[in-house]
Amino acid sequence: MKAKLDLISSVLEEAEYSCSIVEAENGNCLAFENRVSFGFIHCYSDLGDLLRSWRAENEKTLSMFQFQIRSSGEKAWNAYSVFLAFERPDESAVALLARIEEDLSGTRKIARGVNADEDGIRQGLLPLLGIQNPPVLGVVDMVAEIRARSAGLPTKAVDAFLLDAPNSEVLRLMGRSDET
Amino acid sequence: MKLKFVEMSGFRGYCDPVRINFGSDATVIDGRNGVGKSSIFDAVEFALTGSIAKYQDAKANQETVDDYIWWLGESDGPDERYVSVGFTLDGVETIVTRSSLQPGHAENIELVAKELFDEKAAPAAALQQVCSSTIIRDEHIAALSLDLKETERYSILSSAIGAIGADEWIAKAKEIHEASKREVKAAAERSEQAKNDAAVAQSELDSTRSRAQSDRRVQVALRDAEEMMGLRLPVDEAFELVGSELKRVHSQISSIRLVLDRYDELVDARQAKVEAEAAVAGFDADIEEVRGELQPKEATLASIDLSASSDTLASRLSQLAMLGEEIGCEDNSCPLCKSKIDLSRYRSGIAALRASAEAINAEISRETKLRAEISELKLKLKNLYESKDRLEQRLTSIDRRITQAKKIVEDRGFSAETDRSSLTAELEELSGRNERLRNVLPDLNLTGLSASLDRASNAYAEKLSRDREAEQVLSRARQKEADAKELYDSVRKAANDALNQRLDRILPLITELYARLRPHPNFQEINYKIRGELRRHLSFSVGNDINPQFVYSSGQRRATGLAFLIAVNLSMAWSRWSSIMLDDPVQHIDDFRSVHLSELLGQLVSEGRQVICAVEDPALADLICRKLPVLGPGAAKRLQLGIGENGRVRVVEQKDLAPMRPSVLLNQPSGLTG
Repeated sequence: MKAKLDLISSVLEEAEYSCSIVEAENGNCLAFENRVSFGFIHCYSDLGDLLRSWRAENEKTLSMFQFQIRSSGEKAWNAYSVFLAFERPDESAVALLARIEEDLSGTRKIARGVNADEDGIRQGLLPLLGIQNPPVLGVVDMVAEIRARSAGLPTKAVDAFLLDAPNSEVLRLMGRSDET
Repeated sequence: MKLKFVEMSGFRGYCDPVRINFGSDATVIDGRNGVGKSSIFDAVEFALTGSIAKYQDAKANQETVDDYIWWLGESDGPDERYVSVGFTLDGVETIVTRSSLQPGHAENIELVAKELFDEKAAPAAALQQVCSSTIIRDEHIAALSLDLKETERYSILSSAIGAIGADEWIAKAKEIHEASKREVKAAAERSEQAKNDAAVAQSELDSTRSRAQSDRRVQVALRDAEEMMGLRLPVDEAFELVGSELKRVHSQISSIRLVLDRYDELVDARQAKVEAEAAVAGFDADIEEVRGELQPKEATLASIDLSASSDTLASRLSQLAMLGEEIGCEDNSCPLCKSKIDLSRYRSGIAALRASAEAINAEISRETKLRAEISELKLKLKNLYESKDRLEQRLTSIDRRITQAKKIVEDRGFSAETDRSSLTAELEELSGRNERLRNVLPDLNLTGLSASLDRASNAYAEKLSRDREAEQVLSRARQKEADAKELYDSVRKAANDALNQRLDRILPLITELYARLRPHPNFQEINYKIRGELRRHLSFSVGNDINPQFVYSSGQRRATGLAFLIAVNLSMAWSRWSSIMLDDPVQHIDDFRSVHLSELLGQLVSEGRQVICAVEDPALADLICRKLPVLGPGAAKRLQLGIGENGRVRVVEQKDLAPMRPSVLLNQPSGLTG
């Protein structure tokens, strides 16, 4: 579990959160914070464990940090309780996890079943992270694209077309083979 | 580029001048229905485009939105009616103003447009496009997202991606293809015309031929000629073709005759050679015979001993004898020598003298005769030799003739020994053919019809030639058209492929935003698919290929649509406008999804976007404000719109949001490690 917490910590730190391990009995909890929000991430090896334990562990952690939360002012609105199980959920588990998330009492809850790799963790922590798939669109070289798709045509005609020669000139060079 | 403020005077529901200052990072506006929240967004769009797109298709009683742009309240409203929008870029402020005096013109619009988007990459009507993608309105969230036709959805997303420089190429390729089609059409018409002309000319030629063939003599002659030549003959060409055949036959006959003459010559020459050789042999025998006669005579002549004076001696002896007889013996004495001699002895002496003279004369005669005979034989021998020489020369000449004749025969491919009979047979057959052709030829000479036949034939040949030329031109035009179409398809495919590559890079963002907004409790992922080769469709599905359009509630559809529209805004690679303006985006959306939306807006601000969001519910406005990262004074604002004491819209409350405590957990040592 330590390795998974380290992985979660590195993902959050990359998103400019500060992280610390919470001293707890089972050592499965990580605290995180940035200038807008803070919270606790509880990790579970399977969904059954998560569904059984989340409420008790959440209450335990919140009571442990109740002083800080009370003194956080407006930031308390952005307190998160995150429950990650390293197991992909079936349809019924999805509904149960959704029910945890829809409980807005106390803290904002995120409950997910994810793969135990970086992508899975990013998916689980998505509401806390920046945009993961920003489109990076370069300039399209249409001349090269057109040339690549018109290899079967007379080269001179294609050259004339791409040189923006008059249409009549392009047409004149069509209907010929390159050999003639 | 970000928005700094919007100022409205006499615009829509704003009678008095009102200025709304935006936070550099975020602004949250709340106000009950009808206090002018949407007009703020309308003002920005109107300043930039001179119109308000959400009313574009709305018409009633011949009126349009243009009739409702400016203040229509009971009072006259302000003297100056205008909209001003302030933009900032790197601390430099540029203000776009559009007034009622010149609604078709906006001050500084070119300056701002240059900074708002990359002209090279922007689509057509970029200002309208950038407004529709930046200002996400309540009216459009459902209508312009999940409930769109799949083709329209694809179109919106592809235009948001921006121009890829393909439109001009596509237009050019299309023009070339259209021109090639016109060329094919013209060539096909010319070809059709040429074919018709050729058909008419052929019909004319056929009828002329038919007229010619109806002549009975011509028919008979034509049938004979065809039988002889073994092929169908067009009546107008028969005379020429039979004439050519006749020439060919005649030439063959001449050739065979020449060979046969050489055969005759060979026979004659060989006969002459035999005769000449026999004559030569005869001459050889004669020469031997003459030489046999000549040799003994010459030997005899050589044996005759006569001196040169024998003739004189014989003459003197004869005279002496004559004298002795005349004188006679006198006195028993010789009158010639005075010696004593009796008469008898004298007389025998005179006889002996006479005999000597006669002997000498006889020998002289024999020699003379021999000489004459030898001379004659020699002459004969000379003649024989000369004749033999002539014969031998003739033999040489005969050999030369034989050689030449053989060469002529063999040069024409025959054997000088064996082919005469087959040649003779062939000559007979050819002569017969020649005769028959000569007989039919005059009847095929259609001099009466030849002029019209010639004309018809020449006309047909010319039309046929034109038809073939036209066919070649058409074939070439079709090839060009095929090439032009292929080029057009290639260009469109290049554009589609380039666009799809870009879409492929954007669609994961839609998926992510959907996952962030969590429209549906069970379907937490959305799948997309692009179909169609030229008419492209963008379809969404959730779960097991379920179309969310038919299973989602209106709130869930709105949340999905919102994910799509925000993704479109973030995908505008060609836009430099960092703002995203949401006009009441949470209608029908429950608290849970409102939290997700607030989180997303907070993340967008963290990413450097300027978020301006108007909502009806102050509690929701508070929620959004709490999720925003605030870096300092002026970065994020909270505004409340309401109605002033004068009954007019105004900003009733405006405050800068304060940053939150930077650290509440991690400063506390208790309970944390590392």
